Formats: sequence, C-alpha cells, structure tokens
Amino acid sequence: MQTIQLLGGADGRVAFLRCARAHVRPGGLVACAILGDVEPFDCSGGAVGPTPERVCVDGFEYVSRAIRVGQSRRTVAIERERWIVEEPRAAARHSGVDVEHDVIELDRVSVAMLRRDARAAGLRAEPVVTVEATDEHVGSSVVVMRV
Amino acid sequence: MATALAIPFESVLAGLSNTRPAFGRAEVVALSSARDRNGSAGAARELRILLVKNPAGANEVLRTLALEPGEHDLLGVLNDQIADGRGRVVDLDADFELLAGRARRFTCSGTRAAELATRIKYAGVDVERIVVEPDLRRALDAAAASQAETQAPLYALPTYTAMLALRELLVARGELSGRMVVSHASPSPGRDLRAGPTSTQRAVVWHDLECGGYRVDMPAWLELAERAGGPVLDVGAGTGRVSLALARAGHAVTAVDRDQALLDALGQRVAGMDNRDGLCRRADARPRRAQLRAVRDADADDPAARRR
Repeated sequence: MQTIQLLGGADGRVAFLRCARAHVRPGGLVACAILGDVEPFDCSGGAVGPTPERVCVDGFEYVSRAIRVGQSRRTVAIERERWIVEEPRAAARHSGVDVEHDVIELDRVSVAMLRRDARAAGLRAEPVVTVEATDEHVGSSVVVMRV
Repeated sequence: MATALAIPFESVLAGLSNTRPAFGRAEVVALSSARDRNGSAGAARELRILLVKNPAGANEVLRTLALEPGEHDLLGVLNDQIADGRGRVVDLDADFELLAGRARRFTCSGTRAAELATRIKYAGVDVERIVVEPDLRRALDAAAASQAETQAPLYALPTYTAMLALRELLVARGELSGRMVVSHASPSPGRDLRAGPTSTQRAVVWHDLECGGYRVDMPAWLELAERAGGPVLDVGAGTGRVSLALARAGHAVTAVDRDQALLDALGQRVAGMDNRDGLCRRADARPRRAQLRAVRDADADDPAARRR
C-alpha cells in the first residue's frame, strides 16, 4: 500500500503512471492507495502511545511500536521502535537482544494531486474507492484510473 | 527440577500461571460457530491448538490429553511439506494408542489425512468415530460443529505447516488477531538462536507484523480486480498480503517488489497455496486455478515480462 507515496514527489509519480499506461492494456485499470488523514503524535519520550504489535517466530519475540508520526508540508514520517527478544527473556520487558529504529517517510499526496498526476500521464479518472478508518488503522483512498 | 534447585513452590506456580502460550503451542482460541459468522447467534467453542512437531512432542501431547478426564474431540492435521518432514512416517509413530477408548470423534485432515486415519484406526479408535476430511476449512467446521452442545474443548493436533495453515484460517475468520502473522520460512537446521535472526528473516517478520495483518482494504482490491477482469500486477507486493488474496480468489497475479527477501517469502507462500489449491481441486471446490508469480521489479523492464 501507499507505494505511490514512496516515489519522490510528483515527478516520480507521473513517471510511474506513464510507465503503467505504457504497460497496461487499453481499458485496463491503475489503482493507487494513498494514506488518509493522520493525527500526528509523539510518544518517543515515553508517553503512552499505540499498543505494540508482537509476534513470536523461531524462538524470538518481535515487538514493534509506533512512537511518532510527524507531518511536514510535503511528507509524513512514521517512526517505529522495534525490539527482538529471545523468547525465554521475553517476560523481562525491554531486555531486548536487539533494538532498531525505523523511519519511513511518505510523500503527502491528496486525491486531487494524484488525479492531476494521472491527467499528466494520460490516464482518465474513475470514482475513488474509500477504505474507512478503524480504531487501529487510518483510512485510505484508492484512486482509480483508466488507461 | 525446580524442587532440586530449591525453587519455592509459589515461584514455580507464579511462573507457570504467567506463562503465555505461543503460536500454536497450547494456544487457546474461542471459535465462533458457523451461525455466528453468518451474523446470527451461536455458541462459541474453545479450540486448543497443540502443535505436534515430532514423535517425542506428539507423545507428550497425547500423554497430557490422556490425563484429561472423559472423551475428547480431536482434529489431527498431518501435512507433508518440507517443514513437516516430507515423506517421513515419524509423526505416525507416536503413541496414539493412548487415545483408544478416549476419542469421542477424531477428525483427520491435511495432505496425509487418510494415512493419519489409518494410524488412528490401528491404534484402537473405533472406525465409527473417525472422520477423514483433507480440506482443513471443512474439517475444522465439521469438528467444531460435532458435539458442540457439550461445550467440551476441541483439541487440534497439527504438524508445523498445518499449524500455520490453521492459524491463517483462524486469522482470516477473525478468531485470532490478524497481527499474529508469521513468516513461513523454515528455521535453518541447527541454527544457533543466540546468533539472532538474519537480516532477511527480520525483514520478512517486520513486514508481516507491521503490514501483513491489515484486511480492511481487501474487499476494495477484490472488487477492483473483478472490475478490471484481467491479470493483476501488484507493485510493491511485499510478502503478498494482497497478491495472495487475489490469487486465491482466482485472479492471475504478478507480484513485484524491490526487496528480494520479501519476494522469497512470498514465493514460499505461493508454494503452500498451490498445495491447498490441489486439495480444493480434488474436492471440486475451486474450478479456477489461481496463478501467481513473484518477480523482482528489476525484471519488470524486461519486455518479455510485459503484458503477462
């Protein structure tokens, strides 16, 4: 999801959509999901934030927690803290054998912006499909374009 | 051992009561009935998943079950993939005789359902109480529905890949957290756990954990794929969250990603999906064979790869 927001701005998006137009059969669809409204927060200082996601695989517990979502005029940055804990030690919180800090930066893209990019690439706009937000996830819009 | 180490009984008790079941190891799931899933009321039933990875583990599971009073409803799921030990018979070599006279109903499923049923029969379980259903979805439904009025737990005894398939089914039904998605990659034999997971394993697990459980958008992608009516190219497919769902729905999908580790994991899942499709085809439940290819996006510029 949101691959279209990882292409380095309008130039990258238009280049991608032109490439899609060149490869997809006439009448085919190009559909791109873009992130809906996000609420910035910062719990990197230890404040209560979203519940961590956990999974145990091959004797290790993996824990991932979003600690900050920040917005600038052009981008949305999502920061996560990740721990990998060997299972026998999992009960002792934060005694992780490994800690990673992951940051992903998405271009801020609206439906109008993406439709403008689509026109520049020679694609026709179709009705947008809305994926509603849930308690755990922000919603998204799937911008649909016809070749 | 705790006694030998002079650990106080209270500490042992506290330790045991704080133990959390992990991923198929004595994991307990509240099953909704088929009527629940259709929106009407129905009694929930408890499913206890007891992973059976080898004969020694199987014997411990069977001995534990033998300690429980009364008769048991059991779902044995025996697969034959690499992670289960392809072609071996050791899983059938466990002491199933402990269940003779104790199985109220034994549903046998998985790629080797018939062999498991034969083993159970010769262990002394009444043939009238043995049901063979290779399709896991139908086997689970049938086993859960049978004797449901007793409110007794249903015990699932799956091999490794069968446990993954069972959990995946439960996640898809919303009976387990969708976030507990795990890489299907098999652990390397003899790997020193203290060395930690490799960067490839980490990439797959992080991707699954942070992205793989999201399902809310799936109806939108399925509807769009139906509307497009042709083959689907999933750009940035990762480990196949969307690609696999579309392929299972019968669409031809080409998955593209820049991360080879994620594509490799997807490739393994495609192999697993083919096996399940094989089961479905035998049951004439799915006329269209799902197709899915995983290619690197470096290959996407290859003219031969275009318009496939």
